[in-house]
Amino acid sequence: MDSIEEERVEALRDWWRANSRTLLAGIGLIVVGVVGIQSWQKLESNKAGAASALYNELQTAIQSEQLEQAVRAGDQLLTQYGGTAYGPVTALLMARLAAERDDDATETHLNWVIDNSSDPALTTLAQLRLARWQLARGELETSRELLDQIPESARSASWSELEGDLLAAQGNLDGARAAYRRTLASGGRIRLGSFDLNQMKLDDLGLSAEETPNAN
Amino acid sequence: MLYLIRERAKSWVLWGIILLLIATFALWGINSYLGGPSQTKVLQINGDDLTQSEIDQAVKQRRREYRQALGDAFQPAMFEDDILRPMVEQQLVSEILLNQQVRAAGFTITEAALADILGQYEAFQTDGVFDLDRYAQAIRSQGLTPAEFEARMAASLAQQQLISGIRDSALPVTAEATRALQLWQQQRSGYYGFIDGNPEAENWTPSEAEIQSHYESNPGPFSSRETVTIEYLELDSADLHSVEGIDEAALRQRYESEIENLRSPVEVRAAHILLTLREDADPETTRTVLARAESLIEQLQQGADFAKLAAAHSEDRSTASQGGDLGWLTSGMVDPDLETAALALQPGQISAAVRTRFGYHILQVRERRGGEAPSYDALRDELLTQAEADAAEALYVSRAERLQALAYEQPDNLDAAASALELTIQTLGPITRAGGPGIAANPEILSQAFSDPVLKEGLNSEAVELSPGRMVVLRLARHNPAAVRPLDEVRDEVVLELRQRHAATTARTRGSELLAKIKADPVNAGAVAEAEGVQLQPFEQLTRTDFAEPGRELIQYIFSASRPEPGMTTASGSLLEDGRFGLILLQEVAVAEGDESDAETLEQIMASLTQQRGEAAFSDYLEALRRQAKIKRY
Repeated sequence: MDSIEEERVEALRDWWRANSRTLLAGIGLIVVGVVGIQSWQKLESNKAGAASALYNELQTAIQSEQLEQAVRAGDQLLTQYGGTAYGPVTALLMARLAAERDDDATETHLNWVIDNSSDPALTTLAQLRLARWQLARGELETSRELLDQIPESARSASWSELEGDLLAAQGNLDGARAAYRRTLASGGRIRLGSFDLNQMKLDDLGLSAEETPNAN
Repeated sequence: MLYLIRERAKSWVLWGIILLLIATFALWGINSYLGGPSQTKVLQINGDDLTQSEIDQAVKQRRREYRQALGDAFQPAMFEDDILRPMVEQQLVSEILLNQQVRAAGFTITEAALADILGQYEAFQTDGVFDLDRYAQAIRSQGLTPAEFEARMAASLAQQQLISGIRDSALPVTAEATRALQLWQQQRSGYYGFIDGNPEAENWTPSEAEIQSHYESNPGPFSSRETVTIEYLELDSADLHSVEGIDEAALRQRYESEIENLRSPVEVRAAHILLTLREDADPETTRTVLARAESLIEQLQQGADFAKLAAAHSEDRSTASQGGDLGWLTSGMVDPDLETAALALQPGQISAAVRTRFGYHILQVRERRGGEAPSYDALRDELLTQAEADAAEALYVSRAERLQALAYEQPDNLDAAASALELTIQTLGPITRAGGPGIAANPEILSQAFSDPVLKEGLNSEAVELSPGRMVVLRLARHNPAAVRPLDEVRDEVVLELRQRHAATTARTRGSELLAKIKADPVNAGAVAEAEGVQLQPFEQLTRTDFAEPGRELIQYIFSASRPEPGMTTASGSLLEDGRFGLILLQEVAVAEGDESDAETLEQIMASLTQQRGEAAFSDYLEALRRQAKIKRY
């Protein structure tokens, strides 16, 4: 019995001699890793906290219509903390502020979201808004390109409405009619008094050529 | 286990497990392993569970909100669980998805920002300054701890940051608003006329075979509706004779039993001296501190000044300099043992040493208020009214119980209940499933009247409480099932329907023929139409909102007719709901001349468009989250 026990102790000692360095190094690595991860998390959360405060400042300034202050907070946020979750939403709000002044920065901000957002839904949103903005400026081709970049699974009623507007602007009335019909079928309503803007746009295109009872 | 570990200490699997354990504890702590109580799970959304009780609670909450919003118009049937539940479930899923997204993306509300926001709530302020006591009290009244409340608040604020970034960032687009305004104010001019098949149809008689086949293929409209006539007993607490014979002794007793509730709450203004002692202190230390407390008490009883002793000995730093003053103590403010001890003291009295988790306290009460109760004479009238109401209520309840019992024990008649309770059997009917006069307007009554036990088995219904204090039990008197009426009885109705159809067909045929003729000779559209006997009426600068002439339906068709080339006319037409064919000759589409009010209207349209686009963007965003999510139903 004793000898077996001694053998075991001896074996353990041998094992320890052979492996102690590796083991200690392993534990050391784990400790360094955990400390590293935690301090990285702390750093990230500090950054997020600072970005959050700036974002609140931006929102408050927008609500109280203090444009200059809003733009300053937004710019600072984008420069220092653009990589946090607050980057894309800030750029979206900044795009709106620029649009109110009919400023080209609208495009810059929306493009920034498209290039930098890690949230695909926000990218789609920015693409759709940019496409609508370009359409209003008569840039039909770039608008069409953006529209086509949006993945099919993400094409909502707002997408088909914009497609209808675009096709109508390009003179493709049949295509526009079909797009507006799809918009209405997927619940895309925009109330205007007791009327619906999309229905009015569709109606205004008249009947399609085949249906036209009298084409002059 | 240890032996196993030693045996396999070299195995990389084990090292992997150990590494994983260390990493998990380091990153998430042990809390993740100690879940809450187990509950029935309904949905799993990206790994987070939604439980039955959470849904139930939200459904109840939503129903309460509707009840409050609608007041008397609230109809319970419209807000049954099976209608509300799917809707509430959807909302909860959206909420969870949004929360997950907000957390994963890293939206954060710092403690400082939260404190800032909470500090601004008026509900937590006293004289315009944040009041910690008031805050804690307000949170507790919601059944939450401050930590829970703050966590929820922070989550909701972080969520708002994301939502606002999406919803409030829609671009205002002037060109779009202008287009919308132009569409809205568009004016159209031209001519319209009607082709009416009715005069011809009046002289047209369907053949016997047509009548027969129409009658047979459409039984629905030519049937009588199902009705029931019911008998019922109504118990109304308003009919009960007022209860008499309440004697003075009973009122006295009522006064005595209620006096404790009527007393204003007792409050004391107390001061204390605290000698701190850890909760887990050993007996030796406890004895020492207690001895110190008792020596202080002795000094106080010999007339020492409490404030001075407090300043010198109390270890509660915040009060020591104020002579130990704790201010007015209201219920729940301090440790319950301390409160009990304080309330037992009269002004000037010194307490024995009171042990709490902080240590030993010596209390002195300085002032005492409250505890007064109104006199019997002042309350007598009120007590009498209450006593009478209670007695009437008791009488109603006992009669209602008897009514239910008798109606149940003798399920095939109401006579027993009627004679025992001296009620008259009343008759009402015939009523349909859609309701009827009097109590038949009540949905609960209708569902009883048409329930299987009443309708098919001829039993007494369950009791229905129309309103508090009014109860009805009913049974079937007569049942008239729905039946197809004989052809002779409905022949006129069949003929009328066939005539209407004939008129519509005639109008459509003639209308289409006329449109074809106009197409062949578009320049003389008006003349062609008039040659066919269509009276043309002009419409000039008609707008979408002119509903009077030529009628809403035709205006819709006018505004969806194709635009004519300048100087030309487009003809179109459609069968209208009244069976006439509406002919439209459209000559001009114009944009209304602008006036001063337009700029303002444009602003409003732009604001409304932007807002709606923002909302659409947010609902698209939720839809995207839903699409990417893994949602599993248990």
